Amino acid sequence: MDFRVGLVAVEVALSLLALLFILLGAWQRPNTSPTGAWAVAVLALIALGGFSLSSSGIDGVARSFYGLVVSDRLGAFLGLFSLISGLLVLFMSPAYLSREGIHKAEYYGLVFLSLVGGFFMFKAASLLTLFLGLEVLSMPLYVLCGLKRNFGKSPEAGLKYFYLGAFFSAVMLYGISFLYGALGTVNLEGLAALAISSNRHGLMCAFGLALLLCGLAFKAGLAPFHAWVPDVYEGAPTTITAFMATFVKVAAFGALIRILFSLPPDILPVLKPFGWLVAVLTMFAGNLGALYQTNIKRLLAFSSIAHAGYLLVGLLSFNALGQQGVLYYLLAYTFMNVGAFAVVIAFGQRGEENVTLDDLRGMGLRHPFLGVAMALFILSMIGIPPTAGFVGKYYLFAAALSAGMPVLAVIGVLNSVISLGYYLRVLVALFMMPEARAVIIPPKGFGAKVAVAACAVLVLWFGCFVSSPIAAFQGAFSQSMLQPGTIARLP
Amino acid sequence: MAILPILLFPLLGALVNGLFGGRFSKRTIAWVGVGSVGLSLLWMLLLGGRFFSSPEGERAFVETLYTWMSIGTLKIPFALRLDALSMVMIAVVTFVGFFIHLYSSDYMKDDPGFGRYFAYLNLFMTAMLLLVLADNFLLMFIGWEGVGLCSYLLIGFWYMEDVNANAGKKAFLVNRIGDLGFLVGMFCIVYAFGTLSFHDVLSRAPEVLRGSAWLVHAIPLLLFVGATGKSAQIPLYVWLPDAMQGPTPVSALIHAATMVTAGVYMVARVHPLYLLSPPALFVVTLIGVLTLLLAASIALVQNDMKRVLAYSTISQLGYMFAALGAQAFSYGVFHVFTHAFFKACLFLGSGVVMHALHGELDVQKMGGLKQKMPLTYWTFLVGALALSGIFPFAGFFSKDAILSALWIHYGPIFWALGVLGAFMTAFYMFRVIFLAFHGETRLEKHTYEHLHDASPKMAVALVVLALGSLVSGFVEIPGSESLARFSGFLSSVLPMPHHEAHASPIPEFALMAVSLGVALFGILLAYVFYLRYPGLPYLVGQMFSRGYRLLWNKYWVDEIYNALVVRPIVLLAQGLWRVVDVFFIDGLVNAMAYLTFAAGAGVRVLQNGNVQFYALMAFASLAVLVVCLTFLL
Repeated sequence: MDFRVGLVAVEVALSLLALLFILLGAWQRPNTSPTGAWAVAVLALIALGGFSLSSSGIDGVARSFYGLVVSDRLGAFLGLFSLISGLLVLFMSPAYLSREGIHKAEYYGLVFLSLVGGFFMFKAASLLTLFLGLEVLSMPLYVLCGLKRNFGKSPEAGLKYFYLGAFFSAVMLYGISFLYGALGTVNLEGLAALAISSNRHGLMCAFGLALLLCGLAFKAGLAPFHAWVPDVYEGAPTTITAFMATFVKVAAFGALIRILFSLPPDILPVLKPFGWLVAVLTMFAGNLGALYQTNIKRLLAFSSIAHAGYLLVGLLSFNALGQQGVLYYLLAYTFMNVGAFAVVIAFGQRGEENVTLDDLRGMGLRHPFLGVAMALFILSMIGIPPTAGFVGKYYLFAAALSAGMPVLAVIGVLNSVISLGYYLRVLVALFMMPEARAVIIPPKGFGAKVAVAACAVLVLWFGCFVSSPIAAFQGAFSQSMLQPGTIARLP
Repeated sequence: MAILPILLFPLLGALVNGLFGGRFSKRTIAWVGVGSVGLSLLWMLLLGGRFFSSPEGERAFVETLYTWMSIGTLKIPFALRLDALSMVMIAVVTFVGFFIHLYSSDYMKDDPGFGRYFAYLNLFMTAMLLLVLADNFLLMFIGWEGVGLCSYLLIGFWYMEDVNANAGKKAFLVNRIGDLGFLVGMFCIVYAFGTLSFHDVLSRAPEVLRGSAWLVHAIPLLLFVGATGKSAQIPLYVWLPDAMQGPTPVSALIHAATMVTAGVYMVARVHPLYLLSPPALFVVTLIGVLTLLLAASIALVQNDMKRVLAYSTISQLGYMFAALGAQAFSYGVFHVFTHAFFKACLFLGSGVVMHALHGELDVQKMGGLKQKMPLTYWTFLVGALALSGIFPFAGFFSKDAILSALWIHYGPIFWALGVLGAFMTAFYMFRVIFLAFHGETRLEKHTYEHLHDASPKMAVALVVLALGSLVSGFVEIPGSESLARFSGFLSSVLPMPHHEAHASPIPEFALMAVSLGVALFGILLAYVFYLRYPGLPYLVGQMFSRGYRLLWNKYWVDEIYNALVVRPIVLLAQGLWRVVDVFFIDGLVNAMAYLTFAAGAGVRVLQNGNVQFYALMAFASLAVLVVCLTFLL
C-alpha cells in the first residue's frame, strides 16, 4: 500500500486547478469576466472526462493513497457522471453569472473543489475518506449557495444548508466513531465484521450504522431529512442548484452504495424495511410537495426529492437490474435535470430569476427550441418513452418487482402518476396558455443553449440506445470492490 | 416475377396524392391517380401472361416477403398468393378499377377534394388487391379492414353534409359487426390449427375439424358473419343503400364491382371449410336466396336510380351466395366476374345522368333521356339486359349457371325462388329504363334542352364496360364441359360444380328457357306498366296499398333495427355515461385527485422555511429511526 499517484490523477488535477482558480480570483479586476478561467475549466473537465471514460473499462480493483482510496469501475463511472454534470453546469455558467453580477474566478475553484470531495466520497475505501470527502464536497457548496449575496434568498439558502449540513456531519462522524469503537477499524472491508445483536457490541454497531446512514440520507435529500432541499435549491444560484441536484446526488448515492454493499449480507434484511419506509416517504414527500409549487426551481427541487426516492427503490432491490437501473437513472437524471435548469436559466431574467409557471406561459410557442427541449426533459422526468428517464425508471421498478417488492414498485408507479399533476402543468404553461409577460426579453446565453441541446440529444439517445450502457453498467458492479470476496483478494 | 408491385403502384399513388395533392394541379393528380392503377393493370397483364405460360399444374405462386410477426409457434409471414382464383380477382379489380379511375378523372374534375378523392381511391385499390392476394387470414383481414376504411372515407367524402357523414358511419359500424364474426372465426382457426396460412388450414381442415363437434360448424358460420357484413347480406345489408351517398364512381367500384364481392371471394377461398359443414352451406344459400328476394322486391318500387341499383347489387350478391351454398363455388365467382362489368356500367351510366341533371336521380322526374343521351342509353341498356339475364349478355350465363346449381343441389323450390328474383330483376331494371329514358320527358324544358351526353373519358369507360357486359359471359357456357372454360380455369382452386348435371343436359336447357322466358316477361310487364299504360302502376299501388307501402318503406328494417338495437344501445350507453362514468368513475378520480392535493397541502405546511423547525424535524426523525434500528432488533 503506497501512494500510487496515477490512480488519483483526476482528483489531484482537480485540486490543483481549484487552487489555481481561487488564486486567479485574487487578481481578477472588478467588472470583468474570468473568461480564461472558464476556458481552462471547460477544457480541463473535457480532458478529465475523456481520461475517466478511457479508464472506465478497467478490470479489477486497485487501491492508492495508502489504502484510503479505491479505484474500480463503479468509481470510474460515478466520476464520469460527476464530470459530465460539472461540464454541463460550466457551459451554462458564464451567461448566468454575468447576468447576476457574480462571475468570479473562485466560482470555478469552488466547483472543482466540491468535485474533488465527491470523488473521494464514492471512491472511499475507508469511512474517514468518505467523511472527509463529504466535508470537502459540502464546504464549497455552502459558499456557492450563498454566492448571490445581494439576493435575500441566496445567503439564507447557504446558511440553512450550512446549519443543517454541519449538524448532519456531526451525526455522521458520531456514527463513524461508534463503528470504530465497535470494529476497531474505519476501513470499509471492516464493515463486513459488523454484527447487529442485543449485546453491547451489537448495539454499538447498530447505533453507529444508523447514524452514518442518516447522515448520507441527508446529503442525498431523502425523507425525512429532505426539508432543506426546496429552500436551498430555490435560493442558490440556478447553476449551483443544477449542480447540487445532479452531482451531489451522484456522490451521495455513490457513498451509499459503497457502504450498503460492504455490509454483511445478514444485515440487509434488517435494513430493508427501513429503506422501504424511507423510499416511500421520499417519493410521497417529493411528489406531494411539488403539487402546489408555482416556482419552477422549487418545483424541480421537490421533484428531485422524488427522484431520489425512485433511486432508493432500485438500490434496495440489491440485484443486477437495480444496480444497472441506479446507474442508468443517475445518468439520465443528470441530463434531464441539468437540461431543465438550463432552460430555466435561459428564460430567467436578472433579479427575478425565480421563474414561475406564470412567467413561462406561452414561452414554448415563442421559443420553440427551448420549449420543445423543456417538454422533452419533463417527459423524461415523468418517464415516457423514448426518453432516458423511461428506461431508467423501468429498470428501477422492474428491479423492485424481481426482488419481490411489488408493493414498492406499485407505490413508485402511483407516485409517477401523482407527478403528472405538476409536470404537466409546466407543459400546459409552456404551450397551452397565452403569454403573460408584458415585456419579453429574449433568452440569452449561448452556453446555456449548448447545454440544453446536448442534454436533449443525450436524453433521447439514452432513451433509444439502451443495451450498450446497460452492459457497461453491469460490468461496473461486477468489476468493483462490491463483489463478495473481492475485498479478501486485495493486495 | 414479383407480385408485390401490383399493390405498390396504387399505394405510391395514394401517398403522392395524399401528401402533395394540395400542391398539384388537377391534371397531375389525375395522371398520378389513374396512371398508378394503369401500371397495376399492366402488371396484372404481365402476371397473367406468366400465369398462362406456366404449366397447368404449377399455377400457384406464393411470394413470401418477410415474417411479419412471430408469436410463440404462430408465425405469420407477409406472403402473397397468386393462383387461379386470385388471378381472376385481380383481373377484375384492376380492369374495372382502371376504367372507373379514368371515368372519375372527368366526373370529379370540379370537386375541390380532387387529390383527396384519388388518394382514397388508390388506397382502396391497394387494400382490395391485398385482400385478394393475401396468403393467410390475417393479411387478408388487413385488406378487409382497409377496404372498409376506404369505403367509409369515400361514402362520407362530402363530409360537410350530415347525411353523408352518417351514411359513412353506418357503413363502418355495420361492417364492424361483421368483422367481429370474422375475427372470432380467425381466433377459432388459430385455436384449432395453430396457424393462419390458407394452405395449412385448408389442407389440414378435414383431419383437424372432423373430431370437433362445434368448431366444424362454428368456423364457417363465423366467417360467414363477416361476409354478410362486407357483402351486404341479411341481416347486415342495411348499410349498402345508404352508401350511395358517396360519389357515383365510388358506388360503381367499391359498392358494386369489387369490395362487396370480398365476402364471396372469401367464402370461395376457404370453401374446404364449408364443404365440411353441410348446415353452414345451407345457411349460406338460405341467406343468399332470402336476400335476393328481399332486395329485389324493395327495388321494385324505389324511385332513386342509384338506390334501385344498390338494392339490385344486394340482390345479385344474394345470387352469388346462393351459388356458393350450393357448392357451385366457381359459379359464384363467375357471377362476381360478370356482375362487375354490368353493374359498374350501370352505375357509371347513372352517374352521367346525375351529372346531366345536376344531381337529380328520381326516375319519376326524368323520361325521354334517350334522345339527348344516346350513348348513355345504349350502354345502360346493355348493362340492364345483362343484369336481367337476357341471352347473349353476360348475366344470362352466370345467373343461369347459378339457377341450375340451385335446382341440382336444393331442388325446385330454391330454383323457383331464384327465378322469381330474376323476374323481379328484369322488371325493376326496365322500369328504370322506361321511366328514365323512354316516353315523354317530365323535365323542365330548359333543363331538357341543355342535357349533355357523357364526356369522352366517361364514354370510353362506359363503352368498354358495356362490351365487357356483352362478351364476358361466353367464357362459361353451362351444360357443356368443353365450353366451361371459366370453371375449368378455376378448377385448380375450386372444385368443378355438379357433375351429375352432365348426365341429363335436357333439364338444363329447359331450366334455361324458363328463366329466360320469365325475364322477358318481366321486361314486357315493365313495358306495359310504364310505357303502354302509365296509369296502371298507380292503380296497382292503390289496390295493394299495404304491400306497396311495405316495399316503399323497405320492410321498415331500418326502423326495426333502430328500435330493437340502436335505441337500446344508445340508452344503455347514456345510462353508463351518466351514472357509471360521470358519477362513479369521474367521482372516484376527482376524489383521488382532491385527496392527493390535500396531502400536498399538508406537506407544504411542514415546509415553512424555518431552519430551526427543519432541524427539529430532522432530529426527531433521526431519533425515531436510530431508536427503532437499535432497539427493535
